[in-house]
Amino acid sequence: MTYQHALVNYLETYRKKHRLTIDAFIEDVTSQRSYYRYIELTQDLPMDVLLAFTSKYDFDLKELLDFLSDTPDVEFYLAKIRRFKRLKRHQYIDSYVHTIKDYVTEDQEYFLQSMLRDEDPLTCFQQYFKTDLIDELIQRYESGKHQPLILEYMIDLGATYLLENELVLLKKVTDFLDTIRKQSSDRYLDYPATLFLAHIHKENKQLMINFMLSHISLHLFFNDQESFKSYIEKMNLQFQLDFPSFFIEIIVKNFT
Amino acid sequence: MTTENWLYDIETLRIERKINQALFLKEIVSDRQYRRYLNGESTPTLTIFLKLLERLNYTLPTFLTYLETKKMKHNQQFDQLRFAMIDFDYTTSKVLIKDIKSMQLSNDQIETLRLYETLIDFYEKLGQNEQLDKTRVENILNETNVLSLLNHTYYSSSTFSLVNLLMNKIFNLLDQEKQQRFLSFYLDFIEDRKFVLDGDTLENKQMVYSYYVSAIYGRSYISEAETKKGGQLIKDAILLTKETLMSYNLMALNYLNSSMCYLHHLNEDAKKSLFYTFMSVFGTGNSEGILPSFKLAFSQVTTSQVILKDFKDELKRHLEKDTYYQEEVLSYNDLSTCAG
Repeated sequence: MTYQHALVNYLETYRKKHRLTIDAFIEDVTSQRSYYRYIELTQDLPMDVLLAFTSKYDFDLKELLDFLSDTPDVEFYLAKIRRFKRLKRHQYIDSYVHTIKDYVTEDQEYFLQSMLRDEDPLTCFQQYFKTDLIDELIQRYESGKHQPLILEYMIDLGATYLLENELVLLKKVTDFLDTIRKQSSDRYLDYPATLFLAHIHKENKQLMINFMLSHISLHLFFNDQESFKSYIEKMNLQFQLDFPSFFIEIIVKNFT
Repeated sequence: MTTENWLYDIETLRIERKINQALFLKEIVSDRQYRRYLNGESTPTLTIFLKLLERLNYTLPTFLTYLETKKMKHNQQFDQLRFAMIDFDYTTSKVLIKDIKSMQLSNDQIETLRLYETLIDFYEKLGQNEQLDKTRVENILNETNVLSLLNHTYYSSSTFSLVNLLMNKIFNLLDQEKQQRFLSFYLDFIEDRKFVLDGDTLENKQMVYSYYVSAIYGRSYISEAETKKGGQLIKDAILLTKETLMSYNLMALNYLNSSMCYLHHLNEDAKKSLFYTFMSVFGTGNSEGILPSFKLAFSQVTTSQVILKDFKDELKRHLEKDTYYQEEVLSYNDLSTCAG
């Protein structure tokens, strides 16, 4: 189905559902004769007419197109697969694979199979994007392409730089993730970002504690593999602090 | 949003990528016609527009994502403000509003700022005069036209979010008939009579469940059937977060579960949910901004002493024993025992 076909189908369904006559529906947008030609696909829909409809009926065009699209957003699902692999919530992965299996390109198929075989995620990403340069990845993100997948790549890069104590590179990744998470409703991003931020701000104790309290709390919800008890013991040891006492301090302050 | 602006973006991308114009337009449209498009003297058809995008290796959705990302960079502060409003962080909101006012804004943004200021003012004066509160709620309803928004069938996520934000802030002060309209609004999504067009279907489902449950438990009168249904939906919505990863919803859902359990003296479940409510508050990184609202909310169902003791006990339990959230959720009481 072409865009025009999908769009006019949508417009017609909307019109009928709202019991609008064609005249009322197209008022101030186009002529009746032209409208019939668009819905019969005998005339191309001009862009300004399309935009006039979306504006008149308060449709967001991107949302509308996503809704109408028959094809799944393959990279969105690949990113979800990587995320749920990381979270070890394997039960969802099969359905994502099933959703995209008929639509993947050769490169995507290779990336998917490597991930499913639990190969090193950074190698999978590097082969797919042909780069591991942070600036280049940010530039691609800003161009509007590969966004969900680049986010997951950045999270994996950050975790690696943290492990290798590459603080300059970690800061670059963290700055990017911190900006994106503030503009996003994707709250999972807070989980890795707050850990990276805590390490970068180790010198500023109060700031570091705030990031760690956030990170440790999110660990409860985002990690099914390692218990809260075991994780908090590890973090207490790593930072030489008693994080539970800070939780209590804040609750006591607010509830007495 | 105009075609001319979009063509200007296409032309900018072409120049940035150093693509020769003749090559770019070859077999799509003439140079002359393209100039007419750029000058706004003529409009391309959808087919031509899509072909031009294809030459730049864009589809319409990826091109729109590119435009959104570009816009987002300019609107970073505006997004921060939106999240501060959702978090009830009015101190930060006021600072951001002051900064944003010095920027060049669209009419929509000016309208939104005005709405945010009204809501902040409303909250700061809330409780001083009951009659005045009701009048101001009526004013907000009139200014935002939110009740007529409830009658649509299809919603963009931004419109849906606006309804949710307003519902959250003013619901308790609405009369029974208007509260019922909000309840029906959410029920229509659950029963597939209304639709959110964009975004992740599962996330939308979770939001609808959460807001429906908030709306049920936000009223003074709750029937037995509603208590049962609300309780089941709370549990369903919490379980959905395993896939949606929406930690903010966990905060609201656990609060609802906890307060309903305190109200019905199901103390074991109440303190479990209380702990998870507070941990999701910590997760936001803005505990100082959010906890005062919970102090007020929990004061309806229990005392500060109980809250302090229950939180400490639960923290101790989690520090002494290996616990896993999703496993604990499965054994949550679904509130059906509260019915009746």
